[in-house]
Amino acid sequence: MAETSVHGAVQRKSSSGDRPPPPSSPRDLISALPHDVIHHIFLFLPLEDLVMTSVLSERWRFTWTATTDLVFNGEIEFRPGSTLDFPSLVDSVLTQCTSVLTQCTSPAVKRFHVTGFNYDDAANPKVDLWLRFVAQHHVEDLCLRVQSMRHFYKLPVFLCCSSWLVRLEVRLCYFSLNVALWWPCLKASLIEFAELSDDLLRSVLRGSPVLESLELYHSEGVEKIRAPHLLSLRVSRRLNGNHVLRLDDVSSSVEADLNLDILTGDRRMCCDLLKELLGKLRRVPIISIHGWCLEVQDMFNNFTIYKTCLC
Amino acid sequence: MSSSSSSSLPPCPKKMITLKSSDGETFQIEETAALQSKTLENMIDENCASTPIPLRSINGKILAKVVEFCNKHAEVGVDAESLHAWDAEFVNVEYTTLFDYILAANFLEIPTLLDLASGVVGDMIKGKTPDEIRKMFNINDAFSPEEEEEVRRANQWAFE
Repeated sequence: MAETSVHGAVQRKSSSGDRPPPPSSPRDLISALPHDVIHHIFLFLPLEDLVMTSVLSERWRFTWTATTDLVFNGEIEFRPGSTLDFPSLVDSVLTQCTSVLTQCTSPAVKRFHVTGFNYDDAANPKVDLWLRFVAQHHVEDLCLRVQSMRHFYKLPVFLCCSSWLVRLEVRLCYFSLNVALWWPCLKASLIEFAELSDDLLRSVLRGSPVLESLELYHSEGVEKIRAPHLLSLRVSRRLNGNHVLRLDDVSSSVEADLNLDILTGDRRMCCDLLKELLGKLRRVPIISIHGWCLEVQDMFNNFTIYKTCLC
Repeated sequence: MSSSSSSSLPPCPKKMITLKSSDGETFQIEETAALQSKTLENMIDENCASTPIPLRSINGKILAKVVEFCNKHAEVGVDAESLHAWDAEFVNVEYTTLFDYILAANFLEIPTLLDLASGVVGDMIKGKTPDEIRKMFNINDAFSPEEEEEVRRANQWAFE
């Protein structure tokens, strides 16, 4: 309807379902693509395929090292025949990226993700160095999800004031209480399995004036959330009779997701707690509740005033 | 050229802009559909879209498809599933055409088309051996076996 060609295009449109003819000349078109286009294609490749492009030809040898996304998945270590341990693999890649980045102007690394990495305290200096890379390259999107039975990784002090961070996702990490946090561009944060406290969360929220989305998963220690500028809040955790969760002010939120599991037999307390939580969320357009929250919600028969999305 | 085409059109209250390809074909597109291109959006905002916009790096065949893509993605009421199927058919083309889509989307700054076509090229590369990729894309200036071995050694883990 809106498309109108003077001539030709309509004919083409009618034949668009036909198989296109094979290319007339077998030219190397992919190597001729501009750098930024190649780097956009790289966004869709896992790390091993990205690095593998280095052997295609001389033109490709170092192209991958200027990638804007570095996504390391610990599972790569467990591939059959793998001979390099995960930390050494990350080190090797970062060394190559650094050496090229210092030689020429390249697109900045925007995304740095490390997931599924089996962390122990011996790996602490290495992870510090990876995050030094993140700080030096002003990475906007940082994800550090470690796995460990006993060890938490302490985020280094130099990351506590990061004017470039836009998204931060951490698992099994903790923050220093003695350093003021300052993330002026941070818009989204996900914290999982972290030792938090009201003071620490207050410090995170105070230091992140434009934070829009906060996700707290299995992070104990927070009893009160006061975040008047948040647009989206997701909380999943266990509570017991001594540790409850109160929403002090979430007045800007348009979306809230609660998955709470309470370890107490006191039904009255459960009802009061959920009643209070939902009361604080009464102006939030989309509320999702799961698990225990849902069971308690069933106890009420007069909560129809809440526009509730059950997932 | 554009005046002769507009004379054959029924009166249309919708705001249209005209695009001119590298080989001189003109295409009209609704302003609402054109807004998917950040480049065109900027031109509209700066009142530079009242005359035909010359796109010297995009030929008529590709521009027709890009216009078709923008029109489809500007349609109201299309459910995500059918749009996904339409997209899959749209990029079911030779890789040379995919590269043309990518270059056009990059120039016109159409993120949906850029991601769609780049994702397909990524899928073509994923899981293939270097030899398979060279063959697929006619990359002819491969390293000598000795040179390739040296480059492989730097990242042996990626080839295991």
